[in-house]
Amino acid sequence: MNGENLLLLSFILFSLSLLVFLTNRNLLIMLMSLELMLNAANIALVNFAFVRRSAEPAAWLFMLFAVAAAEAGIGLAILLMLARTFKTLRADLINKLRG
Amino acid sequence: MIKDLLFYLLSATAIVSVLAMFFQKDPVKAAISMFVTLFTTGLIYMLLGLRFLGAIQIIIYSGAIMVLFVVALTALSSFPPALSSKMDFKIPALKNLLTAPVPLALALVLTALLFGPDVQWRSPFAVSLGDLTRSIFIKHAFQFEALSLLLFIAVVAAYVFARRTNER
Repeated sequence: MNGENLLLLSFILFSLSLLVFLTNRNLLIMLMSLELMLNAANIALVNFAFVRRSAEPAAWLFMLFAVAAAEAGIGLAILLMLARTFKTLRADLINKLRG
Repeated sequence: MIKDLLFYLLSATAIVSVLAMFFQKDPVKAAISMFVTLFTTGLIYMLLGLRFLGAIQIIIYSGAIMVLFVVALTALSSFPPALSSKMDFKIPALKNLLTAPVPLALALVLTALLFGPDVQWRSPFAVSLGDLTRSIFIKHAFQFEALSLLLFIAVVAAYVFARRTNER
């Protein structure tokens, strides 16, 4: 278990989440994969805390948790609004700027 | 040795659950896969010595945010379609192969973490809670306050979006 392994895990999780994001048409699952991408970035930050043996990246990680919570809250609110306006959750059917 | 093994097991579980999310069509099952990924990530943090952040990850990410997603799932369940992957993989055997080891590996890891005699929680690199709080509240006090403002704006924005949808 070393820094490279953590970076590799972060890379794999980010790539797979990106794959899920790009191949899905459901907005809810796209938002979930966004959260997972942020989670993968957090693992990369943990790698820096691990390699540098420092609390600094850990402090930033703590702040990123709050950013993720804000992102999920706003994202789901926007999703709810879109779903009520367009009556669907499919990203390819939401093709108007003015609902 | 056992920590390395646990790390690889947890990493494999996280990767397999994201893969399972890729093959899922049901958003509820995708949410469960996401929960497993976030939970195993929290366990990895704990394994690395970041016990506090691991606990926060499990409480906030796989707790609070997942509850938010479950509430959204119930609120949005009336809207079609249930879901869809653009690439339609019709390989049920492969799907079962991918999803079956997830709960098994999780149960194994939890048992090893809780009852394993050789597992040392405090690794040489453990970041103490004191160092972390000093870094957050003294060195990065301004960023912390900016973050509270961000959260406040997020709450107001979510309220505004919900109110507008109610009026339509």
